Amino acid sequence: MQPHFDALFAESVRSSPSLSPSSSSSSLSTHGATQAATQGGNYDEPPSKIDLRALDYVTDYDSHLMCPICHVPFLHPVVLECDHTFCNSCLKEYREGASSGARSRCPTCRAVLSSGPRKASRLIVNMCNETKVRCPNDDCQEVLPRGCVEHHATKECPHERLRCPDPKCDKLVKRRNHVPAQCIHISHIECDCGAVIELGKGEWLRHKDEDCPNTGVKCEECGQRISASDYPGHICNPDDDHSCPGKQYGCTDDFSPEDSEAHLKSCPLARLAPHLQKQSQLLQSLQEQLIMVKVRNEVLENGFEKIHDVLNDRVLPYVSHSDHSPAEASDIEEIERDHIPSALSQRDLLMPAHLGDLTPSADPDSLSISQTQQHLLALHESLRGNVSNIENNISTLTNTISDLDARTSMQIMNETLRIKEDLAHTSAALFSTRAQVQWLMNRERVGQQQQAMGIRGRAPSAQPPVSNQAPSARSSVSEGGDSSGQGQSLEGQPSASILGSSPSFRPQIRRQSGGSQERVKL
Amino acid sequence: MASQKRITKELGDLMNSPPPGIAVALADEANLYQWKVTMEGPAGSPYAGGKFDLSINLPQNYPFKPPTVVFTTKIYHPNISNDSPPNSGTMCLGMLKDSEWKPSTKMSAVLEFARQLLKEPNPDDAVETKIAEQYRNDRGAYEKEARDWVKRYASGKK
Repeated sequence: MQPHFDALFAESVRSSPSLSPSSSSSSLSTHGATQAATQGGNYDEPPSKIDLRALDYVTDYDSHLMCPICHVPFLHPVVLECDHTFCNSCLKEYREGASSGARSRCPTCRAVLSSGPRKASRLIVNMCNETKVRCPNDDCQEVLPRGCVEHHATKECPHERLRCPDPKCDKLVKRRNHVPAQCIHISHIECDCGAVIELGKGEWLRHKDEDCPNTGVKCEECGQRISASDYPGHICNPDDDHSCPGKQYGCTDDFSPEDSEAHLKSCPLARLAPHLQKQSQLLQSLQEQLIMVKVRNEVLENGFEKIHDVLNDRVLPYVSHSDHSPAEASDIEEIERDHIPSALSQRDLLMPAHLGDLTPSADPDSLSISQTQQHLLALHESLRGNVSNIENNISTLTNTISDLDARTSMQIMNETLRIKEDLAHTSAALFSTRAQVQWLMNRERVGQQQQAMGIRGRAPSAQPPVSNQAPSARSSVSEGGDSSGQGQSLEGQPSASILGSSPSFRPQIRRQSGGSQERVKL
Repeated sequence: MASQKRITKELGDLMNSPPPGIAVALADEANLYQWKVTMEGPAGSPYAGGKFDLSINLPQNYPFKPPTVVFTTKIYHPNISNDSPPNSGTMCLGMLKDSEWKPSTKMSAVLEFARQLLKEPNPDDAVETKIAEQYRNDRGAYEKEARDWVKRYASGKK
């Protein structure tokens, strides 16, 4: 906020006419002014060329050295009767504006004053003039005590703007470019940067293009315009020219070289590009590593497979042999049991001679031997596990088979029983048919005998029922395909038994009726 | 001339280290002579919790002439006028009278004094005599009314 006010203040100061350097030609310095004592307590200070109150005070000053009216270190301080100190000009201004009653009073304590102000002590004057201020001239950065600033700003400062010596020329010229009694504006031009260029020689354009620190110069290689002061340190990189670093990551924007800076600022891909580059490098190295690891893994796998094969072919039979009952082992046994000497140690068992050849430095290096041994032992363990698994499988298979066996025999038994029953039925039916036939033949024979006896004089009254019965019985046999006929025949049976056939057949026929029916049908 | 330098300095000081409960800004960025001040009602007074806007006008010949302090927020106070405009909100501050004003008085002192007046009204130098009367005789009713006004006008909602 403070700089803003200062700027505002400076603006209003500049617009005021009192700052114009041409206002007075008085050569009295500040020091001279303080010495100009006046009588009657009322003395005039020489009009200053610059407004000492408007200066930029670079350090904080003691508030006791501050005039209560203008709040700036006292300028030509005066002391009143009541011992209050003010700037001479501030007190004068106060008195000019005040009513007649207030005029003779102190602006701070309102004490009535009978005498005029007197000059303040030299000590106070010197302390106030010691405060550091900045030179008020533009472009001059000099910081010096306030007591010297007027002399500097109006007599020495190279940046002070003086009126052009030619009265017809109304331009200003900096002191360092000032030539007495000559208007440089006719033949020269003053650049913003302070340089004075002679006209008519092409110097001006050359200056603007190459030397002027404000407009900058053009880099011959990359075409970039940089200020001349930056030029020595300018690192030109035309390779990096006008393409977005995010282009390979998907930035499709097109822009002119002048816009490249703005684009770099706005393009998220350009900002991400270094990160992405790092990532892709990392990815590549990881891929390479992965390939190497794959190759190694393959080699190792091959070796492992070889060891596994050897174990399967050579060691497993022995192991399983030694572990399992002869009955089970006999199925997979390829090598006879006698091939393994009973005195063979565990190590020998696990390391047949040819396996030892496959594993390098097996014998001489005990460490590698023990390692191989351990490895093989572990393999052995895992194989043992496999074998026990297989054993389990076999036992479950056996169980299943016996189960199936029992079921099949049960089925066969059932079938046999049924067939036996059927056979019994058939034989029974056969038997009953035979009985019937026998019975019928018996009847025939009896009838013939009776006929024969009737011829010999026997009563014929008994004849009709017998003759009626006989045809019906016969028809029942002949019409066997018909079930109703069959029923007739069965119906006919009781009457036949009543007629005197053997009662022992009857229940048999009844019981076998279903079977006989089927037989007849077949 | 002197006025601008002094006002710049005083305003800068007030903004960099504002007195408690007081915030100062320019009403118009380009005009150093119009200030806009927001003052919080002092704790322990009926105005506590209220936010009062003040408009300060510095004369061109400041500090030789006193500034004018006007409350733009309505306030129930014996020393602050609640007339209809243009007199509304004018503050009766002894030190701001032409005859009493001293060029050495700083604006921070004026503002602190104004805030103090909210805490301790001065019924002997009142512009609103009715309120001064009530303040003297029926403090409770005065405080209640002041609080009501704070709620109505100075609760911060515009």
